[in-house]
Amino acid sequence: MTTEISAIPTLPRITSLDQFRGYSVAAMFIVNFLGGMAVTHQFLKHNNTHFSYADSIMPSFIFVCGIAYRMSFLKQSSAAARTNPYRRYLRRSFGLILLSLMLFGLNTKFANWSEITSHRMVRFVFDLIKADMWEVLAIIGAVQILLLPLIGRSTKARLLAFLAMGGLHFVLCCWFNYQFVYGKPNGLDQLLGTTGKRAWDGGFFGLLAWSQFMLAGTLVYDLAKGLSAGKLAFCLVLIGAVVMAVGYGMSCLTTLYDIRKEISDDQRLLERSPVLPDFSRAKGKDWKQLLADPPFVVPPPPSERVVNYWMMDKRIVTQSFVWFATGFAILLYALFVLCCDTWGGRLTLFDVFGKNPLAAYIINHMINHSVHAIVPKDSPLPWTLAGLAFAFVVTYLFVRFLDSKKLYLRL
Amino acid sequence: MNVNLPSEVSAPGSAVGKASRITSLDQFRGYTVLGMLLVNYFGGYAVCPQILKHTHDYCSYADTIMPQFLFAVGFALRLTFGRRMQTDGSAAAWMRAVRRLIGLVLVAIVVYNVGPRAANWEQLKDLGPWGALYEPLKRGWFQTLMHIAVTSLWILPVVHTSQSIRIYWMLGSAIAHILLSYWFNFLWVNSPPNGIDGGPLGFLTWTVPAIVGTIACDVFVKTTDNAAKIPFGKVFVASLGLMLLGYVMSCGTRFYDVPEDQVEALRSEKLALDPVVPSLERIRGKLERDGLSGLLAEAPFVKPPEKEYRKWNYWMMSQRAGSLSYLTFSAGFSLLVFMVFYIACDLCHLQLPIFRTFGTNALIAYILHSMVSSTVQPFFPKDSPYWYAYTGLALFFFMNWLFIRQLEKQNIFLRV
Repeated sequence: MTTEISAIPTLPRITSLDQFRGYSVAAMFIVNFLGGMAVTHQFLKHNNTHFSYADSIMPSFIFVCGIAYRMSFLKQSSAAARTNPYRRYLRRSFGLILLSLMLFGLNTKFANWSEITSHRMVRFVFDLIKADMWEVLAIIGAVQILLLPLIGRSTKARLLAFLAMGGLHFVLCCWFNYQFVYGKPNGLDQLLGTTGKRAWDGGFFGLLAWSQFMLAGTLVYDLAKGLSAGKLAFCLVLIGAVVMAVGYGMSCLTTLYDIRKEISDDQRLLERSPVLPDFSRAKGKDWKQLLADPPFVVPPPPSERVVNYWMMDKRIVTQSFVWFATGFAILLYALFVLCCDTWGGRLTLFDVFGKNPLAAYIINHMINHSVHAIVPKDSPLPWTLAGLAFAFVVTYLFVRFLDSKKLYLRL
Repeated sequence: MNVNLPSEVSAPGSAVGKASRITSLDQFRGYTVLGMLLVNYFGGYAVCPQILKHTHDYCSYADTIMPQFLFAVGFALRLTFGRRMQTDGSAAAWMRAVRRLIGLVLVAIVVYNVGPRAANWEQLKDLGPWGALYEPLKRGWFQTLMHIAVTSLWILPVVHTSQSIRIYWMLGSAIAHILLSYWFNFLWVNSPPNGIDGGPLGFLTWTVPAIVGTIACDVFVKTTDNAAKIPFGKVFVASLGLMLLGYVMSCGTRFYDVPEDQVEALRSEKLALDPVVPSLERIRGKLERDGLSGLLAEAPFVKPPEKEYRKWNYWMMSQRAGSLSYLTFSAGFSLLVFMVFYIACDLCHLQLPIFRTFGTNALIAYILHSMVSSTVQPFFPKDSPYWYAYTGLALFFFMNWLFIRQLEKQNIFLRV
């Protein structure tokens, strides 16, 4: 077990960081509860076809983990530190993965002894690695391990790593990963025997893309050094807007997958290559026709536009999604810097959740399970909101109790 | 009223961490937590020895675990509540205790996830509030943590009073349990959905080990500085006396032996029709068949005949029914085990690190163990051979230890 847990915070706390983390955690509770409910608007659901508010939460959380990761790593690497930070983070990260497996289970059960065969065990291991283990805590743990060789390196090295990770993920998606995540026929699934198994949140190779959010956080930490809060907020707004624009720009390639009704075989042709578009399809189109629907807006249905890599798709963790969500997280963080570090604003709610996100996450996970016992998926809006309010308030009370005792479980 | 409150040490389970801890109580609690891990994880395995299983018709080793928790809770409650009353005043101590125990009720509701009550909204509406909550209230939520919370709330009014008042409270609770069991409770708890550990009214008899724990606190704590004054002989006799009393009560179960000529006719029945007060006909028949010697029940830890040959009744030592014989016997057993720990730890200064690790973080260990179990058990089917089942058990223990030890290293202790 390697999750760091300490009774006394050892690093100076940055208000905007705690508040932003607290906001991400609180928002995660809301979308986690509402995500499966029939009455929930698409804005609060993961749709995997476009960017919704729900899709912004996990990137924001991993982004803020990146800021804290870089900050605490540098602190622990200093001459005064007595522990080896590499060993420490390796231990912590594996602990986080183990905790995640315990919290979410392994999605497999052997009902009796005769079912335990080498074939089934191998299948279990591959299913686990491909898809089943990749919940948010395990992703954070694995990404921390992936970035361990980079976390102490220069800004330039990490910036290049950001681009390289994205590039590598894209290449893998071209090769097999797009079909791999969606459980469609591909070479790797055939090799592993996991054909038909769908993954979520990017699956195993999604770690490359998730690492970009954490790297972005580390870069923002570098930027923050030596800048006043006001200047930092200004820079972050600019950078956030540009990164979002790049993400949106990438997503415009999705328009090349619009089905031309006049060609009978068009849909099948497009489905053959969901990652690499046929640029010749842009010919003859007005530039306005090449603009994708803005984020938060539902795109045309699959009967009009073939589902493709260029959509802001959280299931694949496409590059358009990564860039737009990174920009969104940076922009939002700029607001927190402005409100908290410049104007001194803070909410107790965010403070409580922000200082104890791991404990809050575990507690809320258990409470949501209990509350959903009496809030079925097709509940009407008032009952759904009552269930949400109850789960939220009880989570807050428990985490507030831990806060009053200065008990913090740290990532 | 003679109120002699122990106050020189901090209670395990209290948030007042600066005072010294009672090593024996931590070790005793740690042993109990480990025993719980063992029986809760392993009880369902085909290769598990009978003595480690809960079968609800006699007192096995597994059945000694929960009473020991209640014993430790009573011990600690007496200690902390007493200290709080002296330092913060009566009202503040009360408010704090009630708030904490209601918190524990909430923890229980969260930890004992009862699963969806209805597949959809229409079904939920048809069930109505009572229909939706009846099963969790009777069974799902009423497990160890809820029993501890409710029992603690029940004994709170007397926990700071003299021993005689506490003993009267215990006797009153026991009598109330018998009367309620006679009225409806025994059949209700043993009918689907079966209650767990005595069901919602189980607190009446869980009061027995809890009150015995408060008395043990008086005996063992107030003379910490002078161990020679602890009346070990009297404690030993008291524990044996309680166990004997429990055993004698359990002899009532022999009235429910099924005559050989009726075995086939009654085979499908599990519960006796008169489970609390045996009918005259039943008493007369038994005495005529077997005489007085036929009234001796099997010793504790010895499995009795199956339900075909003896119908389930209130007098058998049953954890499910929370029967008085069971909790009287196990309260005495808890006292004896605690005394052994006291001698070993506080007098001979022996202790096991693993007991300390689990004993100082019992609540987290309890919450954690079901999560670890649900991760490990799917890979170790119930019909696994010895080597594989024991490997799973070792892995289960190791994972629990790994987490709890890490918390201990970081000085994180969650106490209610």
